[in-house]
Amino acid sequence: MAREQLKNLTEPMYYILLSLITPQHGYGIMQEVERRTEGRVKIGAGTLYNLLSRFEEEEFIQQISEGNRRKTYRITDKGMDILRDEYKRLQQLIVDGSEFLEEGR
Amino acid sequence: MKRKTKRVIWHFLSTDYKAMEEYLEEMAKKGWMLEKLGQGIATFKRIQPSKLRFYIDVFKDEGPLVPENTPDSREYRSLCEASGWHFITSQDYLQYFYADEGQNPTPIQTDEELELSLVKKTLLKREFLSIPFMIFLFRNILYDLFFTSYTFFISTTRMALGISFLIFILNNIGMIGYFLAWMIKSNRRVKKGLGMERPNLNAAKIRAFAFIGIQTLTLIVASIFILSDETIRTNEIIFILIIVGMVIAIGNLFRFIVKKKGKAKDDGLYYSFVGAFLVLAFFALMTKLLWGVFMEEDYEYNNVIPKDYPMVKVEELVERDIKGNPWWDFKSNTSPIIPLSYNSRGDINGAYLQISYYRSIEDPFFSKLIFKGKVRELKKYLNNFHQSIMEDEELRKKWQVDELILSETRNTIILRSDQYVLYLKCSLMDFENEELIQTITEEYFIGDEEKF
Repeated sequence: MAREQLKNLTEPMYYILLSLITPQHGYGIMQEVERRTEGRVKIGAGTLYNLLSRFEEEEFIQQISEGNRRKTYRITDKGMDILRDEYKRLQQLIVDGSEFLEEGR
Repeated sequence: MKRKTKRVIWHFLSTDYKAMEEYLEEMAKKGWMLEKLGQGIATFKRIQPSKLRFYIDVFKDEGPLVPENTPDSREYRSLCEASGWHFITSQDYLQYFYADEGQNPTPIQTDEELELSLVKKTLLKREFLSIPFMIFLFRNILYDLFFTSYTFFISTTRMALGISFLIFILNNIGMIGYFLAWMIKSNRRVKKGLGMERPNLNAAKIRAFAFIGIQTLTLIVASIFILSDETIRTNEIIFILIIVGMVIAIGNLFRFIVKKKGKAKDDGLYYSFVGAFLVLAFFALMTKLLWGVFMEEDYEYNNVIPKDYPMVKVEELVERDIKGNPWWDFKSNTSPIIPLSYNSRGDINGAYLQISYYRSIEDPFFSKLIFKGKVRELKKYLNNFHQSIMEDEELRKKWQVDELILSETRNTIILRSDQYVLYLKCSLMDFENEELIQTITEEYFIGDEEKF
């Protein structure tokens, strides 16, 4: 069930993976997502914690250091594949939509 | 002088964790801030009345047997702190936070679907896991309740216990039903995108009383009945209290060590094994030691059978010389349904002897119930030796009783005549013997009220 859900990433999932292309700790991810989306997507601390541990279980991301209190993560190759698939899917959505929606322009 | 701290009973249903936020907000407005949570008790400290916001979150990495402070929980709490939620305290899965006045931080959970699956994996899983545990704990009582229910009628205490237990079980079934309904409803709501329903504080309080409150009350009432039962001897009560007290103390100490001293997530598991072993060893040792102190002399008293009970002389039943007093145990009971019953055990020069006798109120419903229960007990017992029970119509006519059951080896007999039930076990008796039949019938089955 959990794996099934991860086939399509939710918006927060997409942005978390995106921000982990450069190594980041938890709070950094929250700030990065908020900055990138100009406050449109907000991720709660608990939700982020749970998503990170799920991503780690699925090997989409890995821990690169566990310093004092702060764990730092980076996306893995598997995570990159997932992210690229999602990017392609989203692009396809745009292409499919433009045929109808941009006709009148 | 104003008090500085305040204690409040804290027993919400786990699925009502969101209702606690409202409660805490009201308390803060009145000038009381949550300080810590114990087992069923919340401690508040006095503060300036303020409009604080509270957030209670479910954290998957701190369960009942997991230390409070692990690298995982520190990471999680520092994330929450960074987003504006100050950590107050935790109680197993539930983590308590507040935000400063005027602040409006992002909620800790922003994904309802994830939150629900979290609740299912932690809070609900724990509730549902308690079912097999309860069945294991109460299996003997459950068996009695369904198959040998007469045992609940033999003394007033047992009647009270039976009723309490029935309420307890039904209440638990109701609670599990509520959790199931909650889960189904939440599943539907989240699927529709409505999110989990926010429980109303008053409804949550009513639920807390209807389930946890009533269960606690029935347990207290049942305990009072046990402790005040006159047929239980004082030293038995002291013995029970000492053992129960010590087990609770050790359990709490053990929990304290896991919660406060543990460092890593798996520490709890390791401590559990050591702790369980220690508790068992301690329990066994104490039972052995205290049993000697409290129980030994007790058997001395029971060698005499009270004069006013119907009881045949053993000499009349067995044609043997009897050395000394054969009886070594005698226990009697009384209740509104079964005014007289006793169970006595002894031996005749090495041969085991047992007589159990029940005199119920006149309605044969209860004597039938006792008979059925007794037969079932005998059957279960004989099963251990691959033996069974049998009927003997001719013998029943000879005895002139309503029901009769024999063990295969004919050393045990159960009889029911009107409101009387008699259980006899002795390898030295011949249940076909006319004299024996007459002696027993006269002593046990004739309602001579003056006798008692």
